[in-house]
Amino acid sequence: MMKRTQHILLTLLILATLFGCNNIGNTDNPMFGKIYRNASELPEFKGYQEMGGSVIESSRNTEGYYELAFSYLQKKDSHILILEEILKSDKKEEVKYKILDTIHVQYVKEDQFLTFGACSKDESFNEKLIALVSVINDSTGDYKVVKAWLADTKEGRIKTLADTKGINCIRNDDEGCGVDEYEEVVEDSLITDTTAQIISIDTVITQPIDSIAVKQ
Amino acid sequence: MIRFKRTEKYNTAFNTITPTNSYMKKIFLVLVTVSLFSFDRQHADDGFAFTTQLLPEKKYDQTIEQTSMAELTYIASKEFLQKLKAKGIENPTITNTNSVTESVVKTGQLNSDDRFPVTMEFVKTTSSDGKKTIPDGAIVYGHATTKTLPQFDSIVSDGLDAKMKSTILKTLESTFAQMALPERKVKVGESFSIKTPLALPIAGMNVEMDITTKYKLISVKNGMADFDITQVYTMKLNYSKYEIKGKGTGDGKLVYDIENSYNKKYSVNIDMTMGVKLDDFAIALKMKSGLIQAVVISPNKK
Repeated sequence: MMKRTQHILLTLLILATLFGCNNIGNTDNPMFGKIYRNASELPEFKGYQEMGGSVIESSRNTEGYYELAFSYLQKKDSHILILEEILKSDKKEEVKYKILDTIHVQYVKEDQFLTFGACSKDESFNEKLIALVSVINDSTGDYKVVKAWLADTKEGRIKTLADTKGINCIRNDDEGCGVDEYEEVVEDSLITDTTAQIISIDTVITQPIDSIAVKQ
Repeated sequence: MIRFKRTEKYNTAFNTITPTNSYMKKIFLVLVTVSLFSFDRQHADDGFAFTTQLLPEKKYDQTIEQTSMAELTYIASKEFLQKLKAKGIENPTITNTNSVTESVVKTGQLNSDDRFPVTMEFVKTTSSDGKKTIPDGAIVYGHATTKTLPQFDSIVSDGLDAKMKSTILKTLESTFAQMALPERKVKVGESFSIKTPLALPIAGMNVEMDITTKYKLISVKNGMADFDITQVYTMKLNYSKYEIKGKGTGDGKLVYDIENSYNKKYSVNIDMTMGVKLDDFAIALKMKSGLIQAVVISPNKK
């Protein structure tokens, strides 16, 4: 009897561990938990183009697989960034993604975009930083940080940063990761106002994203 | 089958350095040509198609920097090794080389047969040992289609004899013939592997090699796709008497320019070991090599 109880407890513990590990994300976000391979599969993202994405380096597990990533979607001046879990779906090594959290910025100016995996805070590179930046000089990668967020990979949430001081973002397309380049960028961050409207993670998305009223 | 007389064996032992290095250079040549051609970009919501092909009316300016450190050890009887020493050959023999090669691939107009001409000119090679596998100014001619990789049929160079020309063409032809890649859409965080079997004619022998390359798409940002590359090299010698065994691994990066449909930068570091067992002695080779390749594509203006 004792042994049986121990087995049950052990099984429950294993199950809790297995499923508990993946039970991260912003459950308040109505997009949480949605699984897709292509963003356009989801009706909420209909018409959006996938602009890019990136694995989160620190999410690499012991088997060498990345568990978390960012995806960047855009439709006209409406920009969405998704923190997602990478799901191995089949033997073909094709992956699917599970949404953990999203941020949605509307009325983004033409010289603005969301950047990720390219920002530092107080000269220390942080791949989990996300920023809305205005381009000063695209060829030199001179950007102004307008708004910043931090992906909490333990909780699976994207958190707004109240203070963007000390955050710098650069263009990093030459080397792919550009970590070394951060050391060369020593500039004070510039914070400017923007007309872009950020829909925070607290915004309850209960309808297609396009129909969400934008706060002015 | 190649038979060696006693005296020739020593020469073979000494000369093995040359074909082995030549072999490695051809491996690099393969890497160069493999990485030279752009990946067909299909920017779509369902990922990138990862295929290799040249585009018509383009000019591909390429620079390749290679470094290598080779440690060659003779394993033989004391008597044999003493004879080596008497000939001034150190055991192990350590060789460090580096080189920079500039080449230009030009593609012509697409004709009605869906074919276009391809030329590959080896513009300049600078190497630490002063050797040039292919002389400066050598031009290789061939054709490609929008769906198939180029096939080279002739080479023009004053510094190459007919045998060497034939070897280079066969090497290129063999390389490209075996590069039919399955079209595959790739998403961020996803990886896929390509196995490229190669048959390289070297020193009268047909050396067969497999390179299994795994590409993992790390990010797509600012119009650049960033791949992690890992490679596994397996070699086997189709040779009746003497056995060559070899293996190796490689890792590197590929930065692919989506807008211009080309690989902007390719870098790989390779660790290899080879063993050759002959009648009276064996050779063990350890090699560390690095390759950085950068390509700039522009319209091929006449």
